[in-house]
Amino acid sequence: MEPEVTEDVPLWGSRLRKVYGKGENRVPALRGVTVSFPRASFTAVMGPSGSGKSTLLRCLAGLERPTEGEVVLAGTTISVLGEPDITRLRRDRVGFVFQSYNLLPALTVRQNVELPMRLAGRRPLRADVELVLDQVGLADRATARPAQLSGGQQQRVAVARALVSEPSVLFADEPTGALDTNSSRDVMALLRDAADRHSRTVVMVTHDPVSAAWADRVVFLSDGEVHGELVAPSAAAVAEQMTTLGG
Amino acid sequence: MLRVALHTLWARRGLLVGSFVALCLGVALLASTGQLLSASTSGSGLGGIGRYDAAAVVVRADQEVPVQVGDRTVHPTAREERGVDPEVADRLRTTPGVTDVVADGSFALGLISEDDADTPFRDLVGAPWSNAPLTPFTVVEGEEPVAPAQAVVSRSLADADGITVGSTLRISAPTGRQDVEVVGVAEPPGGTGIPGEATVLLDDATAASLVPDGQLPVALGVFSEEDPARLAETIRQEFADEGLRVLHGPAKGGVAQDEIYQQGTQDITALLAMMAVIALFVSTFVVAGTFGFAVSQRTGELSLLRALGATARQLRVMLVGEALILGVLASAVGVFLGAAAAGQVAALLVDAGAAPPGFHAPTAPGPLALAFVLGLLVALAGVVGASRRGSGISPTEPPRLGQLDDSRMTRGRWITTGVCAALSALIASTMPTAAADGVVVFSFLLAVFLVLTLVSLAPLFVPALAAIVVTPFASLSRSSGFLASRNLRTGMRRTASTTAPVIVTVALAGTVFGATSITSATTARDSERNLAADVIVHSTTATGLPPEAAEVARAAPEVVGLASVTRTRGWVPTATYARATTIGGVDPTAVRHTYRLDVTEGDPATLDGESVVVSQPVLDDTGWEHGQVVPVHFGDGRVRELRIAAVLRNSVDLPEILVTPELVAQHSRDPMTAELYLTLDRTPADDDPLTELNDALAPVGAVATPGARWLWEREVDNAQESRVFAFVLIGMAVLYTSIAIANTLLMSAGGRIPELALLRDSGATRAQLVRMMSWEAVGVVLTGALLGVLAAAVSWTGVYLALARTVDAAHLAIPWGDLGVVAGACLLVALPASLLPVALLGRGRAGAGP
Repeated sequence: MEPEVTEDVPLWGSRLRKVYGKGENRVPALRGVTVSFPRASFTAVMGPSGSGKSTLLRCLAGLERPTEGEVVLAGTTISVLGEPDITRLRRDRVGFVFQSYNLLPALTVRQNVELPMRLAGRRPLRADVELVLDQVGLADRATARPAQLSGGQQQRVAVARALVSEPSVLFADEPTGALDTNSSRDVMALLRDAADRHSRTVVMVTHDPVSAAWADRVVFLSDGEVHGELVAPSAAAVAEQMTTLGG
Repeated sequence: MLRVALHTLWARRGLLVGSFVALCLGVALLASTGQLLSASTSGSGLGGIGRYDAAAVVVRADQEVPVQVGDRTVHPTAREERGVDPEVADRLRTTPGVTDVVADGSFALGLISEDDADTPFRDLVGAPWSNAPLTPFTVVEGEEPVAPAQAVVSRSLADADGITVGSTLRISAPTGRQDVEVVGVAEPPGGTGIPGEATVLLDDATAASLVPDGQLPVALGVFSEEDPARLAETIRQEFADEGLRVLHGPAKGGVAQDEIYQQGTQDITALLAMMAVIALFVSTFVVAGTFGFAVSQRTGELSLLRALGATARQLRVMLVGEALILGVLASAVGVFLGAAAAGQVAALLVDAGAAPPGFHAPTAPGPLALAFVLGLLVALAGVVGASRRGSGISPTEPPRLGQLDDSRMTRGRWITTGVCAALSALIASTMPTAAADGVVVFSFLLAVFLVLTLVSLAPLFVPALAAIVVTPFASLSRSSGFLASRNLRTGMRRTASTTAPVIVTVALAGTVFGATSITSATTARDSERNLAADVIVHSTTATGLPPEAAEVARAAPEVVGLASVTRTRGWVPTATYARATTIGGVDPTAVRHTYRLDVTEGDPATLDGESVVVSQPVLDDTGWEHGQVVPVHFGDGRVRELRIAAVLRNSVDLPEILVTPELVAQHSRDPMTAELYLTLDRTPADDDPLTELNDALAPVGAVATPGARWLWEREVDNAQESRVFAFVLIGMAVLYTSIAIANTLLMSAGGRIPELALLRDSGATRAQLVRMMSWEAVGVVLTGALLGVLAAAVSWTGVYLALARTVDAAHLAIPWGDLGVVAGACLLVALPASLLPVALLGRGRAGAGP
């Protein structure tokens, strides 16, 4: 079941293994995970604590090197790339949203959004930034500092920052973990929109069945291995599956 | 990235205050030092009236003298000003265009006064009235001095010393004592006198009688109606290759004026320069500490930037950019402040009489630019370590890192440690062979590198050491001491970086105080052992003793022996350089009664006009041997071939090279005796007023003191002088320590508040927190002081060993009192800074405890 690497499969991980530590302290986090993510799809990765879901996300995003296996990101096999090339690929083709917003407190909302483009040495177009801030509903807060925003607003800035460089893949690590229900819904809607209207490939790690239900598909991990998946999930079905995994 | 740097820099501006102040102050000191130095060497600040203002052209002797060294010739500057041959004056008079030639017949003199009033003048100058047209001085009150024993004084001297027409001046000069009557007061046009110089113009016959026969004039003033530049060119062509300097315009003031100026500013600029070095040295630590701390605090932020696509290089550029912005701002402000301060210091020098009125330090772009660049370099040097660590952060670092106090020995630290330790060893190994006057500099350098070694090794052992040091004190309390000890051990970065400035300060203080106290204690002991004279006679005027002083002393009934030393300077050739040396004129038989000479070869009593007594250090450097005929270069550039009659193990208080007084007189501009050494028919007590002797000596401008007391008084004077110098330096270092300690504690204060709040909630009383933080401060300061003394001790050993080479009585005098004061000052700074977080915690906060 190894699909051809085409534009329709912008992200693919093959037989991924990841072991932390050495000798007696070896802790296997991934035990051979093969998974692919089609274009314009929204996939949720779920599993109990220690199932390896965050490790999988970091390996797929090139933030961490798998012990074995291959990751193909946007048509490039990243296992053979050096660190500077991976960094370059990441900033051109990948967007990130973290649980704890992770905005730079010293910069304004607009400057935070512009940051990835600046890092890539490109001049951010004002119109692009305004557009994406408008999409997340924060066009009027462009000059505010992160500390002046609510948690939900900060996470929406983080989404805007992830989207502004028009990445092919958008990773989100527990994006609603620190948010209330209403704010969570806003952020999920934005991720859904990114897949549907802008054809981004969205990969999200979460443990919240309600958030997972916004995805096209849920991949379940347990003990570093894939334990089934659910297409067109409902919150109830996801919760039931999680119970069987012991999460 | 610079834009990001600018923003993050601004957001953390509170943290950077310390770095900014430290760097700014260092650059300011450097800038003002540079500006003053440049003003003093160029003489551009010299204003006012010059002695030769009225002359069109001034002709002087070339002051570069040849010294044959191995198979080449070097040209040091004369150490006794060379005069011009009178034959040159005769030839100048016949040169076309020259209307008159006036030989400068000035000489140094002393004024004997009843009271010991300090005069604001550096130099008292006597000159014949025929020299008046040179400036020109014109009589504005009274009349011209034409009859024997008449004088006219400059208005500036008259005003300062309250001299009026009709009063009597009691002059002490090289050939003897002379009373003269003041018949007038003179002024140069546009002023009251020559700046820095007190002028006494005597009738020509009296002036001539006060100068030793054969003394050549230092300059010839040439008068002419012609254009000075053209006349100068004509004279230069006529006297080509005759070793003359022909000067016109501002250069006429010449060496004499420049020397007054340089003398006055030398000490203060040396002090400023050392302060600047300390300032920049410590600034590097402060900047490094601040950025190191900032990077460890921002691990999360930096790893986020990496995740967002910043390369390691970009992070490095950002951090270096931040330091660069800080460096540019601090240096710019520092340069501005320094340039302004230089003007203030210049004014201060004028007020203190150390520089002539009108002296100022004009803006000097070169030194200011240099100070600016050095400031930038310090900022960059400070950020190197932090930027390497910061850029090494990986994007997968836990996104929200807590106060993980991780400061292991990095590779950079090991390298720094290795390099500094190697340099310390190198300096230590060369110290025993260094020249005696280089030892203090060497020991200072050694201490600097030892401190760098200790500071770069700090994370390895300082926290544990501090925890141990605090233990005995901590046992005085039950819980707070234990907590303090644990905090010191686990808060590694904090402990290491607050200890570092204390190490620096105590080590510098120990080295500076120690080197001076060991040197002076050794000198004092050595003099005591070697001085056999019962009484010392010295001058009460600005110059030495007139010949009458010896006559008066010799005539005193209780005096049975008398020796005098006249001093001059010169060189001896070694294989590679012209070694500067001191030359003294002594009566070989008399000196044996007043000095216990440690003769290793020959007999000093055989000293005559053809021979010389040399001390061993000179022989060590030149390779000369007893009995050999050697070339001794006198300060005026002339060479004498003299046979080595005797060798002394060390010169003690005497000059290194001893010849007959007659020989010194021939080569010295000021052949007056500095001190007379007397032996009495009894041994006077230290507090013996020697009334009879002193009554006889007072009219000739001399005073007698029992030998032991004289040594002691001189020692106190010397020590006082070097202590003032040292205290200014160390005060500077303590100021910087305060900045550094306060900076570190301020940076960590925010991080400590939650910890303190937790302790408070767990039942700790406010008093317990205060005690805990106080113990921590005590631990840090004691540890720093301990390590500082360790570094200083190595330099003390070096100074001691170097002194022990030539002196039997090398004495290891450790200035514990001074060091205690410095350590106490550090504690005074550290205590309130440590207690800041407790204060910030707020009195109103309700702890669960009592």
